[in-house]
Amino acid sequence: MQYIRDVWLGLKTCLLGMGITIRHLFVEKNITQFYPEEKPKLPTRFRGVLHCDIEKCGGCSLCARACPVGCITMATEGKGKDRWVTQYDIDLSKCMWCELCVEACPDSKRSLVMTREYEISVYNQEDLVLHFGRGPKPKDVPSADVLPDPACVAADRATS
Amino acid sequence: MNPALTSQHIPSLKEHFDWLFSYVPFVANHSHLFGAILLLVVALIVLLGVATYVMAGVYLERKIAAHIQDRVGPFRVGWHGILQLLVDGVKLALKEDLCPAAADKPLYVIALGVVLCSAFATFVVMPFSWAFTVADMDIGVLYVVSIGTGVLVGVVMAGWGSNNKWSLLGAMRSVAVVISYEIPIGLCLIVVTMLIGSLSTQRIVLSQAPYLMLSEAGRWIVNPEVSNWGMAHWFAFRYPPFLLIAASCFFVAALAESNRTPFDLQEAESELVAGFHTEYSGLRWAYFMLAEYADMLILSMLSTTLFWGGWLPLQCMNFHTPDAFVFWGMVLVLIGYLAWLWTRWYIPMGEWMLIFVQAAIIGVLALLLYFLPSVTWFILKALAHVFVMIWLRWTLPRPRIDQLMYLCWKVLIPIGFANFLLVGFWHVYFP
Repeated sequence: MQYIRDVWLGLKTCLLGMGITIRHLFVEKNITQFYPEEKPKLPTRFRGVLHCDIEKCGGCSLCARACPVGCITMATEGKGKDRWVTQYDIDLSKCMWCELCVEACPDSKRSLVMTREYEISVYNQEDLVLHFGRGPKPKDVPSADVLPDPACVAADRATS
Repeated sequence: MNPALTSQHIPSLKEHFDWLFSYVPFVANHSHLFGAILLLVVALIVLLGVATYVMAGVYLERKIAAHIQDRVGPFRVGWHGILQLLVDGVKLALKEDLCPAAADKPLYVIALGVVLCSAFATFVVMPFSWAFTVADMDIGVLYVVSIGTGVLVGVVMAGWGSNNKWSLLGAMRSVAVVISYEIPIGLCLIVVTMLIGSLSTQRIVLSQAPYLMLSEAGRWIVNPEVSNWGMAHWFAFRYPPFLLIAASCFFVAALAESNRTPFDLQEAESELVAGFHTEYSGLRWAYFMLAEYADMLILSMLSTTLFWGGWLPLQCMNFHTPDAFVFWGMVLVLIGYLAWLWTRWYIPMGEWMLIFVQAAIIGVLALLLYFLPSVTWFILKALAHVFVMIWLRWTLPRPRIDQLMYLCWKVLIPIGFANFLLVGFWHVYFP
């Protein structure tokens, strides 16, 4: 009796399984995304590659200190408002996309953001280091608050 | 069975050739020579046809597997990846042909030939259509089974010749399984051959169409004096449900015989070393694959011949004959089963429409196929078997070796034997 039950169970479960697979073959939609041609829909708060708008950056290096893995390297020249960010490197091979640096960036600046970019494959590890620094501070350019007002300069030229 | 069979001679392919040659003056005088040439051409057609089938089969298998798993499968080369079948072949041809240093070189090379020859030799007796059987032997079915077993010799040679213990173990597993499953195959074969008293494949097909008779022109035409029950004459529907059980047992045993999942313990590519062809690479490996797919096709064709009407078309029949009731009852049971299966899941209306559209397309295709010649019917039926084999492969997990042997010795053989006895009693006492 047990034997007949076993054989029947084997046959029944086999047919049930075949029912499931034929349903998937003809009815269910495929879930494949044709990736390079068809980009996935990213979530709203997707954390992509870091980007620093160096024009806005005040060089406070709060981000570098907030980073738990130390992937941000900063070097600055000058003090106060004249602080000039000579080097701002983000090593994406170390980055773990925690967004702590972005949270640390002061609300008045908001220079560091996470973009929605995620295609960052490169051939060399060095290429994963992003450089945002402005290089050495130009010596001959006076700081912004020493320069004369551009409107006055234009007026002077017109009169002379 | 078929009254024409007892008295009349079934024209063979050679006789068809001779009839053809008799109209051409020079050829008629050298009919032996031209007959031989034409037979070579036929052999080439079968060889190339099987090779094409294998390429298409691999592609279809990948596609079906992908769609069952909700993927899309090969998609990059050509329309829906259709060129994949060429690309696969080219890739295999470009691979390095390795031979292990310690291998028994002659055995290593000959093994492949033995496997391929025994796989292709079985196509000789396949009844592709009413005229196209290369050789309609009296021992047709026995020939298929015995020549088909030659594959096993090749497998052992490959396993031994590779001089690799894992290859040899794989060959041993293969032989153990295939030899065990020869018995249920034989038991299912013998039921049909017992009923008609002939092993000739062409006679087996014609016995499933007693409404056919040979016209004076040598063609099979419908005999108006015999009631046409159509598909109810197919052996799968005779002596219900015994021969349907025999057909199912044959199919399960054929799965094991052709080393297909769920019974592919010989290879078990995801768990074990790949079996007897571990040491083969490139084109040699491709030929083993070809033999494996050809094996699948051979057993499908055998099953088609024995149980599913061979080259006879699917056709409508009178509704008032007792066998027709049985047949349509079985169809109703199948439809009921499918309906029960569908109701187990919630299917939205849109998807029902999709199913209806698919059914309509299949219906129109079936109508078109009705007008296609018998070769197409035979090949389509065999391919339907192949499809179910692929479908099963992606449904069932692999059993343990003891479960495999349990299925053979404790399920298929007793059922096959009981079937054989019961059909015999029925046939003798209630003919």
